[in-house]
Amino acid sequence: MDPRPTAPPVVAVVVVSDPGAWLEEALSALGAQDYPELSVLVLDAASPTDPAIGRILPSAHYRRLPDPVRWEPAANEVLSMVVGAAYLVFVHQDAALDDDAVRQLVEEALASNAGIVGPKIVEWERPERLLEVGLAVDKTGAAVSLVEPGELDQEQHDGVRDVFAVPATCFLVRADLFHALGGFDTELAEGAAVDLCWRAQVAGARVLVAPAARVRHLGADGPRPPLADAARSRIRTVLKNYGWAHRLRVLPQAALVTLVEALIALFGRRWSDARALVGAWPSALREGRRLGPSRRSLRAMRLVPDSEVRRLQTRGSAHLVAYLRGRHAEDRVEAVAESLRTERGRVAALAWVTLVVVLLVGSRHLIGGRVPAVGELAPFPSAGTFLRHVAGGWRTTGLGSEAAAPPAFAVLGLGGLVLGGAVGLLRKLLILAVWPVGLWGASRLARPFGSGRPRLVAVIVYAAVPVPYDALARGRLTGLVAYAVAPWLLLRLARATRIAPFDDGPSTTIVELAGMAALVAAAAAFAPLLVLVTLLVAVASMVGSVIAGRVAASLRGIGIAVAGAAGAALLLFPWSADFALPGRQWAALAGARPPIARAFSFADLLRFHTGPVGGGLFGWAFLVAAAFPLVLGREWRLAWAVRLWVVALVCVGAAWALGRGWIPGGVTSPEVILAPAAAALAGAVALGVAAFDLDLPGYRFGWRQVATVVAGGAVIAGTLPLVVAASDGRWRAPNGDLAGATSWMPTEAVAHGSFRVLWLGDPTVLPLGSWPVGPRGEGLAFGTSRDGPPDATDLWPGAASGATALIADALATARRGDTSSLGHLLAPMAIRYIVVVQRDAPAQYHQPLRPAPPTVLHALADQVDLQVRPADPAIVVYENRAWAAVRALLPGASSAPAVAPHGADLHAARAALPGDGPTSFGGTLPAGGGELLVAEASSRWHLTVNGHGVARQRSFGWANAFASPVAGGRAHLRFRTPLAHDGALALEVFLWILVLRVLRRERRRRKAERLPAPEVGG
Amino acid sequence: MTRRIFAILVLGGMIAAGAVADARVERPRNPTAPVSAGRLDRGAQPVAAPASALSSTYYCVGAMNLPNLVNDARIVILNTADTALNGTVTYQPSQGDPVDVPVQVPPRTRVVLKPSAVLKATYASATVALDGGQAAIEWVALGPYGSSTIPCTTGTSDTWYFAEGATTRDAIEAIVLDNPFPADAVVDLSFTTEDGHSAPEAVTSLAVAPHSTRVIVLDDVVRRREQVSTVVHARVGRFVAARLQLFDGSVPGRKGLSIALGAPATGTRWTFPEGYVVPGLNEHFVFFNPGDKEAHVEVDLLLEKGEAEPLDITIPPEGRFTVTANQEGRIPKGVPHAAVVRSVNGVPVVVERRIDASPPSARSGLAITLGSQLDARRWAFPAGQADKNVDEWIVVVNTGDAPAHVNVTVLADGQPLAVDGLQGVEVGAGQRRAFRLGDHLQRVAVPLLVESDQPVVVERDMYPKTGTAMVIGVALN
Repeated sequence: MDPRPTAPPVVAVVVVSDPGAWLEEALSALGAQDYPELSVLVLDAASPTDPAIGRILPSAHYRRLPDPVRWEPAANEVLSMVVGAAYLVFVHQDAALDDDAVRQLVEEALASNAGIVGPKIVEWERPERLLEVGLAVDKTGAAVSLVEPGELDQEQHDGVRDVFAVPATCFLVRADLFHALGGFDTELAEGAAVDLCWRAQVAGARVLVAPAARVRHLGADGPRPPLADAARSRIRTVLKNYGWAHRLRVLPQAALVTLVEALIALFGRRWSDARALVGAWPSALREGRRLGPSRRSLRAMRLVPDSEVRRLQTRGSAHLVAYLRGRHAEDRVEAVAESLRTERGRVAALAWVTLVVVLLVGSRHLIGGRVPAVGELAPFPSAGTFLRHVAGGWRTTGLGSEAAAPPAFAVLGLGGLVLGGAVGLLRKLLILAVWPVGLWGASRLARPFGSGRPRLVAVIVYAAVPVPYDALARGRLTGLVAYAVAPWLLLRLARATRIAPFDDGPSTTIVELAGMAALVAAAAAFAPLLVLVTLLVAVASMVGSVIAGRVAASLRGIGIAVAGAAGAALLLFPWSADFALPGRQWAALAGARPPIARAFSFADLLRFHTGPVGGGLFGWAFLVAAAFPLVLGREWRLAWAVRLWVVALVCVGAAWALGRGWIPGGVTSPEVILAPAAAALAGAVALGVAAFDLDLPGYRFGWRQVATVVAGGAVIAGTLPLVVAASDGRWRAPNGDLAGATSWMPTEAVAHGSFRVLWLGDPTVLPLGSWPVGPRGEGLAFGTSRDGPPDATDLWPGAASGATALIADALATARRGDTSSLGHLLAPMAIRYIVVVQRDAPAQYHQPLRPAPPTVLHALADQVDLQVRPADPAIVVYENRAWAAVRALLPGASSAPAVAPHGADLHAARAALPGDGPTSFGGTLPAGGGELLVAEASSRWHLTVNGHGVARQRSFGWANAFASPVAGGRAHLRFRTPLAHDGALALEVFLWILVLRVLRRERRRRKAERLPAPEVGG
Repeated sequence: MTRRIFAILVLGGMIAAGAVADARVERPRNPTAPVSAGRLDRGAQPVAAPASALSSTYYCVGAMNLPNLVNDARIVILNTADTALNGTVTYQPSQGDPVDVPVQVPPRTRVVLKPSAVLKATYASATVALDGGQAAIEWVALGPYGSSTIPCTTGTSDTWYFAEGATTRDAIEAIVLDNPFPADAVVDLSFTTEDGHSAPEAVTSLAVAPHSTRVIVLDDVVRRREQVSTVVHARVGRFVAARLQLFDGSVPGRKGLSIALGAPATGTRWTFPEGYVVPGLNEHFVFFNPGDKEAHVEVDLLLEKGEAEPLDITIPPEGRFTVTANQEGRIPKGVPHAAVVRSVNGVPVVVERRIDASPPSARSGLAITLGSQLDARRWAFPAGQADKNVDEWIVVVNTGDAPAHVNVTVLADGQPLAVDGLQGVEVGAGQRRAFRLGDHLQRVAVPLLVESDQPVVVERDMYPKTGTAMVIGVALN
């Protein structure tokens, strides 16, 4: 008897298929193995050219298969060809084993009694970089490598360990096990090795990885199978390898994972991938009906229940883990998991969860129900309507004007298209998205301050300031936008100064400017005043630097802000030109001023108490907390606390001065100016936390420690109003709106022709954009809508110059007592209803009363041609008895005067040319002639009847009149959009593309910087 | 000083500055309407629209044909401007449909319309819509009790107040409601009498149809009361209200017919230029407080000769108080006087003056006159007559601090005729002067324009053979 133990015979199986030059090295490596009992079997899957195996490895057994087949069926040939081998080593044709690899694999298989053993697989050219060291597989059969892409081999994976599967690149399997399992499942397009390992585990075999065995892999296996096939293969694996109980549980989960993956693909604009993922299911389920024999076969050899097998699988979704890993989120997830193991971490996690819960609870009725259309939260028309306004170059506000539509219309129109026309959903998403965007911004603002706690505190404070809740309750969309954007603006301005810790800004000034311009433009598209607010914040920050130091650096911030504002003006061109041209009103930028008598006090503004949320003693809490870094902070903590405090106080002061009339002009939504103050305050409180971490240890025990407790308590106290306000589930916003109270108007338009509605009242309760009218400081404003309650196209009304000023003139005439027939004055303007608004929602919701000046109501009541209509007590509705439709036909020989200072009684005119417009209307003009009056203030309206143009005349000094042919006929009224408008739009689109490309390039550069640097040299 | 302390001081200073500014700088009250500078507030009494007005509307209410009370009526339109006025008169009778009649009034001319020429009704109201301002309109009711002249109002209201009234056996009181608008008005009436406040259900939720006149005879609702103050309030809509008050003479000392507009608003200041207490002329001031707070008023007496201490009066909430001048020791007999009523505690009230004229006085009749709440530099009186049949007086009171110089002009068919002897007449500060027109001219038609270089209050008193008509003029912007 030979005392030396004999090595079990091993057959290395290589399937070649049209190999490259690297096959020689791969086969030579097999030939160089130091394992004594190794045979090599080369199966040629009908390569088009002779691979010359005999020349490369003469000792190899070569078998050419008759037909070209995939790798798996080719490999399965060994079932019939190989007899007597103890182990089989499957090796890809582009894998080169280290000299001792086979020996290492066999030794480990024997030592661990493993059924399948895999090696450490490294890059062919750079063997110091790992490719795979086993595979993690989740319950849905998705496999992912256990190493990071490009990970260096630093022996960190050199321990032998159990894995769920090994890649097919190279692995050793017990020959009897391979035979028992029936080889590879040749129906699988991908993952055959994973499936083999899975079945091996079910059969009770161990699957290990032995990193001592190293294999270099070139990765020249050819293209991966289509995603649909790969997805189908995974589903087949699940259907085949689970027992029925686990199959029932796992299949729905697999379907959900597919859905998530499809959504991620959709977000990444990979439409075909999404289709493939979802489309794989039907065919896979159909194939599943034929899996009976396979299941029975597996059931027969099952030694390990599915519950045990699942313990070896990775938790969650392996693909999702891989996706996150690509964004380095796994590190963050890891960090979070690590932090949860500490007391502090758990407290922070509890705070985050509590914040999210409070916000969700407080918004529950808004999420599940309606967001009321109060104030600026007007309902959205269809996406097509928005886009027609953009393309048409015609504004319907006032008496109409040739002006560019606000860019917000383009954003909302495109957004509506993306959501398949669900503009209501779009509106809700935009409004509710304010919170995550704003809070994310607060988190980013505080990120340079150190550990996670400053960020957490910044988010909590910013979430708890009353600004967004008051803005929502009072319907101030511009305030909500400002809340979302303010911390991002502050962050960019801070980075622009390059003052620590904000000294990691964009790579170049061009990128910085592009980013600032894009941010300001995106915000100003909805809240144009933010352009000036940005400049104000920059100047305030510079003033803060006068106190805190680094003035020169702050000047750079002002420069970036100015340039960014200029860039934003360019990006918003031609709409931005409306604010810059001579004669434009401040109200176009910031809205009409509310009554000075109701201006907020300084104390209210300091506590951000501009609505139903906030105020009281707790409103001072955050100010107390924000004072903490002033008394404790050092270095940049103190410096930035001072700057942020100055920003906050300057913004509050500006809001106060505007409200009191100390600064000409007013602002309908003070939150636009208060939001940066709130963000600055949140930043200051976060600096307090940083000071606590960094500076407090440097002090002796004393009053500063007490101050710490006071500050902490103040933060907690400051959040209490938020918790209370969350109770009603809609942040004290009313449950109804004036649209409901005037919902009968559109039917009137359908029945009797299109008309305008004149809305009058305190601008803070008007449900549309408005212009001031009456004495300065009285706080009376007016606006117009079409055919009923206003929608979002009535926001951002622009300047009330031109013909629209006639409305204000008519109102003033009536208030002076110079007319008792206001209806006649308004009739040529197609104003059918005057609505005096005194609350922003129907009276039953008990919103604050904002009565119109009594003289307004008296003046309107004294008009003999205005009739009061029954309406909700929140509004007073007058119907103009002398009105005519926007497009109205005066019958017979009647004609409208060119000028009519007393107005006219037009009730005899009949509505004509219906349509949604806004720039094109069509219909039939009846026979009999007459004059078509078009109450639109522009000479670019053209009428054709039966294809022939009709000369335009001016009527009432500003409107249009066309002589209707006696025979009548098919008529088309159209506004001719100026070419300059189309050119300006094209320029705007071009500039946006340019800016976005710059930013995208910067983003890619930063992403590449985060990845490990490639090795230099071989 | 360290940077930290400096920063804290600066920031604290900013907060303190803001707080101080907020506390010190008064928040301005909302400015009242435009009514631009110099314009008269048209809310409290008839005020003509300015010359720049594109249009103006006047609302006239009165009786046309009440058996034994009113035989006929006139609408007198005076155009004080340099340009002609065109318009429409819409008659709204108490029975029947409205009737529209075009009207043209040449400049500086008056036009007299006869409603009975186009409709037949007991009561009627008229809405006169003109294409300009500077007009004054009066409704004149003619009957056996004499003539009663009411200025047409230039504004409507949702509430009208009548301080005086009586439903005793010798009296008839009726409230005439005019709705000139195209929608229904729904009104409630309430009363304050010697028995207190009441709001009978019978006069609640009364509908006044669009473009119509409705009459409510109070004797059916408030029976046999000597003192009846009335509030007419619209739940819906706005309207105009006038009161017809008759005393049939069965009670000695009072006989006559008065038709007068109500007060569209309460006020804190009321001026009565005319006052005279002699045997046969009984002067009463009726103070009505419709609010829920006690009112303290002071009555300043401006005597043509001498001085008198003011009267202090307290009127309870929803209460009334009557001062009979004849019984008031501080009001000297035989001395013409004006009265200025002021609410010293800011609670607004309504004040009317009632004059009963009977023998041995040379006058006869009844005049119930609402005081003036405003002073003006120009006053118009469309309906006037100064001849052997009518004794017309102009009474001017200057409650200001500077002397006023008054000119009286007759607008005679387009020509302004300055009345001799009534040009540049000085009315001293705090003084009252009365001018008998008959001493300066004799004309059947005396449409008057009274102009002053200081704000004054002007009343016209007409004493025909039967009856008394006393009205405050129509102020002109």
